[in-house]
Amino acid sequence: MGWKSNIILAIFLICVGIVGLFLLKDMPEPPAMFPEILFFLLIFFSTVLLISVLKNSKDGSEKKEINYYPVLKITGGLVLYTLIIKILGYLLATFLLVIYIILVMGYPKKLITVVVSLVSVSIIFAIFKLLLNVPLPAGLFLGL
Amino acid sequence: MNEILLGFSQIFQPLSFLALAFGVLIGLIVGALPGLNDNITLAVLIPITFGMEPEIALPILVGVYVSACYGGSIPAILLNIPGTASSVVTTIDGYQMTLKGEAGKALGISTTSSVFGGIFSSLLLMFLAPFLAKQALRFGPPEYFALAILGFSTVAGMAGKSLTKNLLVCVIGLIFATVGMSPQTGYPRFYFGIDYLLDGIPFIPMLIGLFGVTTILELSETISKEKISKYVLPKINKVLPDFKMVKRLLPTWLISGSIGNVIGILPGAGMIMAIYMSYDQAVRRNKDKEFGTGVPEGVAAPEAANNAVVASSMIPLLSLGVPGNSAAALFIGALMIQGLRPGPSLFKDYPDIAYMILVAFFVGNILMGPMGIMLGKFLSSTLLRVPRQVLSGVIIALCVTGAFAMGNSVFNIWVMIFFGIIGYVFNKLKLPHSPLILAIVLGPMMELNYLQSMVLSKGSPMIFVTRPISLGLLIIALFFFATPFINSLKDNLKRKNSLSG
Amino acid sequence: MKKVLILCLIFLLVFSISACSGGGASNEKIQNDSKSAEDSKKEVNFPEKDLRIIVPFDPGGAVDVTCRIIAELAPDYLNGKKIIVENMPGGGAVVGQTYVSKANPDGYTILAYTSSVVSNPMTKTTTYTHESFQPVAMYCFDPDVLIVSADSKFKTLKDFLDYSKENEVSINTAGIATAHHIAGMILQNKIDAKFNFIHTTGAGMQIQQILGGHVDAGLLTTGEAQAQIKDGTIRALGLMHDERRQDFPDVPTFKENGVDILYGAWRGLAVPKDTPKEVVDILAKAFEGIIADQRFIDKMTTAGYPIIFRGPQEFTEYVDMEAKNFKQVLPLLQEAQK
Repeated sequence: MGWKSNIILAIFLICVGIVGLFLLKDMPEPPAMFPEILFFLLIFFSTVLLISVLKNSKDGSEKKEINYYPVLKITGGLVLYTLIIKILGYLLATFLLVIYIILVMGYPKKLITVVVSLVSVSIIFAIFKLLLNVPLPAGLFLGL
Repeated sequence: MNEILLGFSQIFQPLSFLALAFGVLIGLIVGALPGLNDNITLAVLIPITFGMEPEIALPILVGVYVSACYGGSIPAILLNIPGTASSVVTTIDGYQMTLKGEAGKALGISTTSSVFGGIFSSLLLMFLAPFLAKQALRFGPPEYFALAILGFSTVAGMAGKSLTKNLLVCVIGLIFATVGMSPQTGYPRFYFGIDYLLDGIPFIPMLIGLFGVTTILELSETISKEKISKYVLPKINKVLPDFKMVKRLLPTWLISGSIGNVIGILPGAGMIMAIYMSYDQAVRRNKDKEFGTGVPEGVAAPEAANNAVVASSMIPLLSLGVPGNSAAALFIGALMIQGLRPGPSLFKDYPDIAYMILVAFFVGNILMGPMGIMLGKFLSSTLLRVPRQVLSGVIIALCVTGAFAMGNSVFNIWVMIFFGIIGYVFNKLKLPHSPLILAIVLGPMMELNYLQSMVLSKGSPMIFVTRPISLGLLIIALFFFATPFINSLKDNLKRKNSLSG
Repeated sequence: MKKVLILCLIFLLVFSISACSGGGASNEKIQNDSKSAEDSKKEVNFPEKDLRIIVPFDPGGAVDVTCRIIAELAPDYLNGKKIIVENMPGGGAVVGQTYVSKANPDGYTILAYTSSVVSNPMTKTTTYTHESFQPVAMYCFDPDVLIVSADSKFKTLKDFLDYSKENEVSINTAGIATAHHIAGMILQNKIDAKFNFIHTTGAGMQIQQILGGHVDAGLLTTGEAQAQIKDGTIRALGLMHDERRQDFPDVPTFKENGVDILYGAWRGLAVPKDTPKEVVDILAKAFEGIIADQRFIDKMTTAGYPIIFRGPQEFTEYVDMEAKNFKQVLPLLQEAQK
């Protein structure tokens, strides 16, 4: 990642700092003191970063093509999982999640995928639910 | 001395000994599973031990506590995912060693270091506990504030390439740490109407995100295009370090063990501070080695420190009845339920039980060595053989379940995902993770103790420099902060000279 | 072909899961039952399945431990049905309290009901108040105690009271707006003193600060400091209770010294407000039985938790009184937060 991303980062954090200071306007003094110092420091260090990056603009390292597609797919899968876990219930949702992740990762053997998901989710369920009494979500339909 | 022997004779009763070994095994396993830790296990075990005799119940609990943080180093080394918070620093060099094909060596170093740290502190616990506990009482709010500042100075030391970026990440972490009710005044800050955030960002789900999810996201970039890849299986025959290595690591062990003991004795200072400080010391003392590329000292330092914290955190508990951390607080519950009050009277009224606990820490640490190596060998031969695509799925399942279990809420899974993305973006921008975690742990401690000191001194900051311990800590911190600045200034001067020349 | 296989397996899993679960269906049945019971005044069949106590704190604390002691004995008093203790920490207990306030009022979801249920709605934005719950049983009252270090200059409560009228004293609590903080503010008003409050994160930190002589005195429950009081490293100056405690006969009460103050941490159980009265009565009777059980008494006493029983009626009155007390110090509290 070259210097461009560093510039974006610095500018983004400066904006965060300004917004943060703005949010502190209504807060009484003692609790606002620490965040206030921190947002000023954030702006300060971001500016230092910005200046140092702009100075060394030439030594941008070579760009690598990054395949963001699977990253987005996994993040999306996790978000969807979290949205539906209470509806489907822990067992089914997690089972599907594991299959999905293994498939996105590009593993070709479908049967092994399913077996691994089934076994691993069952073991994890046994440890957390049965041994540790963690109330994993039951789901609306199955009641488990 | 007689009492110590009494303790030994008690722990070597067959049932007590079995209970201890069982506890150590459980601790290793829950430590090695990301998302499970000693706290949740102890909390679950304590009600189960209600009905047991103390001679059996307490060794189980001690065993779990002793070995969980060592268990955490196994996935930290093999998968770059710390099994417990105490192993976050171990990932830095441990995983690099695995990538170099030295997984066995790394596991061996982590085992020997943990056993060394653990035995070191259990000896202190057995022989010096009352004296040390009294010293710990000298620490009041101003001293804890100074200690937090000292903790932050390690960020400056860790700055390998970019000091600015390290400090920037540190500030970001401190800002995250302000979320929730403010200390002393209880004002809700930046919680955006979400009740779950009132107590601050849930720590463990955050760690699971930063390590577990980030690792999977990183992996998915490259792996989904590859053919099924298997690691070139490293030979894990020779695990134990040879004499040369032991000799090389001994100074690191001693220093890290001492740091771990000092931090452990101070109630509330915490394991995270100990591992960061000892790693920092290892970096400073070994200027010739490039840390972060798989340096043995980088594994030895945090692992010796975290196990030293374990037994020494029992010193204030057993001598004063003051719990040093949340696991020790759970121990109080366990003792009370058995009708035992922690404190000096425990040693007078129930010497057999009290000394058994001390000795159990010692014996537990010894048991942990061979048992840990067996588990490490087993895990490394299986985990590294499973195709990484498949392993990723299982890891994700553990991550979401562990995050949920930390507060029994789906909100924690959101936190995990959020920090998974943050960790990924940080990696892309070459921002280090470690200052973030340190800042989130130390931020609240610093702010709370600052505000408490201000109440005590009626608003005068002089309190930090008029008290000798606090002054001393601040001077050391200043020194640590200054060294990288001075070094980088020197480097800059040199570079300018060479450029102009 | 392989896809078909996957589908088959998924169906198999779904089928097996639904086959072995009967809980969901019986849930509705009970609701219908309790409704029809109200109409025709038939016997209520309660409980027909396992119950849950929601503990709005992390595992391992006093509330959690005492609830688990109750849960252990519950099957003997609830037709063999179990009570499962679930921790739902977050937001200074707001998360768990909100959850139960919105739960189905059928008696199967019980809240570990503590003083924070009164203070939270007044100091934070919540969707409930203490009146959103029907108290069922109070099982523990742990009076607050004023403690100092053993080498403190305050030998007796009178020393402390006399000194604090003239001088500022630093007192630590387990956190702002906790019962102990409220107790301290009430005391401050009654004796016209000025305390500098130091709000820690819990009793462990309080005791450490007092033992180390960093803070003058502290307010916490007797149970939290009992080990140090019995060891003599900490001196208990006064108890905020109407009489001395049997296990601490040497500790005087504030009342004896002319300061009428009763305060402490109470622990009880409550259900959502609209729970049918029959169900509340069954639960109250079951808990009354548990609390009188020798096994319960033994465990609570060894762990140092004083037992008290208050039924639904008395408990409700008590909590209402507590809320009134709290309202009185609320302006002071808001001042302290600024």
